[in-house]
Amino acid sequence: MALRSWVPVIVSAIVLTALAFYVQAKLVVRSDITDFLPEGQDRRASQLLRELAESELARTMILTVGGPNTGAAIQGTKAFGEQLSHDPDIAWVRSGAPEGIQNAAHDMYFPRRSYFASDRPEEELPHRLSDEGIRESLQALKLALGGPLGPLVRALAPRDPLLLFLAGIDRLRAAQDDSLRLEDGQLVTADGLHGVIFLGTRAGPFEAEPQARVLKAISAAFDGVNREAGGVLRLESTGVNRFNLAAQQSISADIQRVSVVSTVGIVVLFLLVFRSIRYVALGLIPLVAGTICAMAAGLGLFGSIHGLTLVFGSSLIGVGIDYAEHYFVHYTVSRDSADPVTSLLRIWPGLVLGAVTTVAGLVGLAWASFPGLREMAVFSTVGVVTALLSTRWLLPPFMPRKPKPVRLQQKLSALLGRAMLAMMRSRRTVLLLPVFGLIVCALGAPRVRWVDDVSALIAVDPALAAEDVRVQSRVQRADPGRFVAVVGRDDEAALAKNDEVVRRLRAAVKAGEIETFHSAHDLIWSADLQRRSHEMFTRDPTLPARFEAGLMAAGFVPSAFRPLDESYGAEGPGPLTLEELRQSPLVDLVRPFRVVLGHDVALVTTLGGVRDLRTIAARLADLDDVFVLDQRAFLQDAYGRIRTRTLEMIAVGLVVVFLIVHLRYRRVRLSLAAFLPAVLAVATTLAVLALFGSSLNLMHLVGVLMVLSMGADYAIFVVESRDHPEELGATLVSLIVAMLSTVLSFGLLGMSANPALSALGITAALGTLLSVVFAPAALVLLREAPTE
Amino acid sequence: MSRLAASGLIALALGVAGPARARQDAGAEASSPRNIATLDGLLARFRAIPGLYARYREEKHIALLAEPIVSEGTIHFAPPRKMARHARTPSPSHIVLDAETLRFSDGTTTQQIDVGANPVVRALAESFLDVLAGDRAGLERSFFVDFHAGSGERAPSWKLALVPKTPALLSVLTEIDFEGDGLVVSKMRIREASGDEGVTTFSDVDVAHRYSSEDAARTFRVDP
Repeated sequence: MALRSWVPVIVSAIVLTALAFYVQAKLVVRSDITDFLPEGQDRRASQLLRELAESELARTMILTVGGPNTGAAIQGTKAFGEQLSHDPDIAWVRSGAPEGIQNAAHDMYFPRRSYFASDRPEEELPHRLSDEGIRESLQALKLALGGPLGPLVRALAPRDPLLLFLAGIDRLRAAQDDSLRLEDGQLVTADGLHGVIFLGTRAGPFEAEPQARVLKAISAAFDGVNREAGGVLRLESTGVNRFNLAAQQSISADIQRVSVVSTVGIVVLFLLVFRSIRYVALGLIPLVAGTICAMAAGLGLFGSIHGLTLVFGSSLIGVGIDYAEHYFVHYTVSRDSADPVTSLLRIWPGLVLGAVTTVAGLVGLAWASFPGLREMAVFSTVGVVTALLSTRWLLPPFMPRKPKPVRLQQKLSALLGRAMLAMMRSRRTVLLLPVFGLIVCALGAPRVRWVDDVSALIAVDPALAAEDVRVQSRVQRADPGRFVAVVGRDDEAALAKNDEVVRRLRAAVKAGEIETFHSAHDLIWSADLQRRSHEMFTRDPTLPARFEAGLMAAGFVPSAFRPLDESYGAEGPGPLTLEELRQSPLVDLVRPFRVVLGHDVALVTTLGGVRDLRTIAARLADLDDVFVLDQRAFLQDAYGRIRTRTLEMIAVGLVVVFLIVHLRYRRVRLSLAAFLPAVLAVATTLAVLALFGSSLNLMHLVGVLMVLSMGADYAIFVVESRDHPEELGATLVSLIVAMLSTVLSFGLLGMSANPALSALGITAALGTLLSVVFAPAALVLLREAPTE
Repeated sequence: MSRLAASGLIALALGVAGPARARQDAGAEASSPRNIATLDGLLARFRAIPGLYARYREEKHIALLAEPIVSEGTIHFAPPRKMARHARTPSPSHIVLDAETLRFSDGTTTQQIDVGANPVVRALAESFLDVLAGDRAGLERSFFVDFHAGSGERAPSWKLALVPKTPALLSVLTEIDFEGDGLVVSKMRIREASGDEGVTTFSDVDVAHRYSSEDAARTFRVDP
């Protein structure tokens, strides 16, 4: 081999090494569904969901410690919480009333009692401050003085005779979930048999490594506490991190298992077919080069790579190994192979056409308005083109000068060549194959059902799901994933919108549309609303005198009270701000409601007992930047749109592919022979899955794109060999090797317990198998004149 | 809230501290002068009672009001640490202290306080339980205890004064005085730091009252 032919190898090795370092240093994998959503209102909502997915809310874990009795549960939970609070991966632990919360609440709300007198001040306060209202209030005060809270009321009444502060505290208490109570300083469940701990992790819920450390630390801390307690305690917990980690571990385990088996299988297959380890190593070159360049391009253009892009793109780049296999088979089987380069050049037009059609199929995706699909198209295009160029420039220098003939290959090639001739002689029999495929398609088409529910892509451990239900039911009443969010440019703007949302949600509760809701409004109102409430006490100059008369009439000693205008009319510290709350010991109470969205602030209201979310959405429809979200339905809708758009783009891509193929062959029948097998293989595959009762999801679609790409290549390789019967056998051998390697790599995923991997694996395996069957049949049926 | 909790317990104290007159069938030994001439003797007898039921009448003298507030109802105690006060007039209200949880209702809403979460509240709650449970050490943890026994053949009189030890408790409460005859507390006076005062007298007291499990479930429960 001339020294000149090594130049591309050396240059490529340097470039690829540099790019590999670049990828390693810069690699960031995203998982935001927002990348697959169009711009506009939906995108804003999806940004909100993304922020929520990383927010304090999603980083919060709930742990319950069950014991034989309340005392044991409390003691165990306290010790457990104490240990967890020292863990460096845990940001905060809450298992009781935070220190200082009681005095902080008093110090913040008592001086502002008139600011929080009513959140409908214009409707409620005029009556409250009328003579009749004052009489009613003083009667209530009298009863309260003699009631269980009498001593407290006596202390507060001189400066708060309308008991506004206690009413505010009652409002706060009513807003708290009654599923939990405090006992001996520890949160316990209503049955008293479980202590409860809330904790926030420093890392986001999707960061596998730190979350694995957190779960390990929790387990270790509990084991120690439980040992001390004599083994009578039971820990149950829930959190996004647990589900995510379990899913990741399950997928990793599946992929590792499949990788080992498929690697061994492919090595054995290559050794069997080529009798040399050299081809195994060479086959990896286009794959590795394609993946490195695709990742580098993705990172360079987009800054990070989406997880779905990696899955989809890597699958497509996998066709790169087919180019190498096709080349290896032709080089080792064909008798006239003078040298590696000449042999490659003979099949080069077919390889180029295969790669071009693959890239063309992605053109539609690149034009899509979804940024994620554009990224997929760019990633895959770069990967496939690199794999093709690597096959052309990097493999020949490493090929043996005189390939050792392999008997199995030669026998198989001869056998398949004869079979091809036999098929050409009995075209009617061959016709049965596509007819059979079409019948299956006709039967299966009505049963095809697309499922866009994200949960269909995730295998949730039933034990984990049941534990989640148990823990959630012990501690809260809100419906998971259903909420209203208001977005404002700052806290004050968001609070103002939140005031209005709460007013309407109260009407919804009254109308029976929801059972309950929890909002930051329980803790704070907008400054404007607070001021309006306060100002109602300063408007009427007769109020102090009327109030004093009311005191006399009700049997009170007026001199024991401060004048009403001093108690409620003084400016005081002014409206309470969200920032003040966040800087106070009450921060834990407000934390779950506030999410920062870039430069904006969102306030989240959780909903409980929702009858029909659409009625809530209708109530809030005219409010700007107010979102009624059902996380599951939203993602389902988003995935549905991705699926629909991808299907449309595949259709566009197929038209482009046909035009390119036709440009090469110029004859419709030949063009169809190169085009139809993959289409029929895909349709038949989906129909078979439907007939077996499988519902189809996004990962089946990824499999479809793979099969279309590979299937088109297979058919093109066959059509390219149409005038060389001696090569047809070798081509068919290469197709079988390619198909087997696909089955070994992706087909094994079909046995995965993970629905996403299983969907991809089954579609890829069955689709490539059918492509290999339909490709020669199409040539036999569609070429103009059979060749003997 | 701490102040809230403290106030609830004072109210509870007004109701549950003692019975006015023991039933005639209270055992002679229980009220023997030899046994209750000392604080330890009195507390030992309290430790032996199977339960307590009494009616009460409370007068609260409050600086804010020209006239005192009068309330009436019943009190209940079941060992080891359950107490309840159910007010009938001037408006229905209920207070129940069970172990470390105080629940109370004013007839419309029910609230709950974790007694263990606040030292002041805990001291108040446990002091009254300690009297009825006969726990001197518990009493002396938070109060200076002053006991004087008087004379009487079958039911000698006595006085017990509890003065808070800590400034925190003193900021709420000045003193609790009990007066009793034999096993029976006839009067209880609570002086609050604000100057207000509550005087409670007891009647129809049964210091041998046994609560069946059904009775206990009904009595030591707070409904709105």
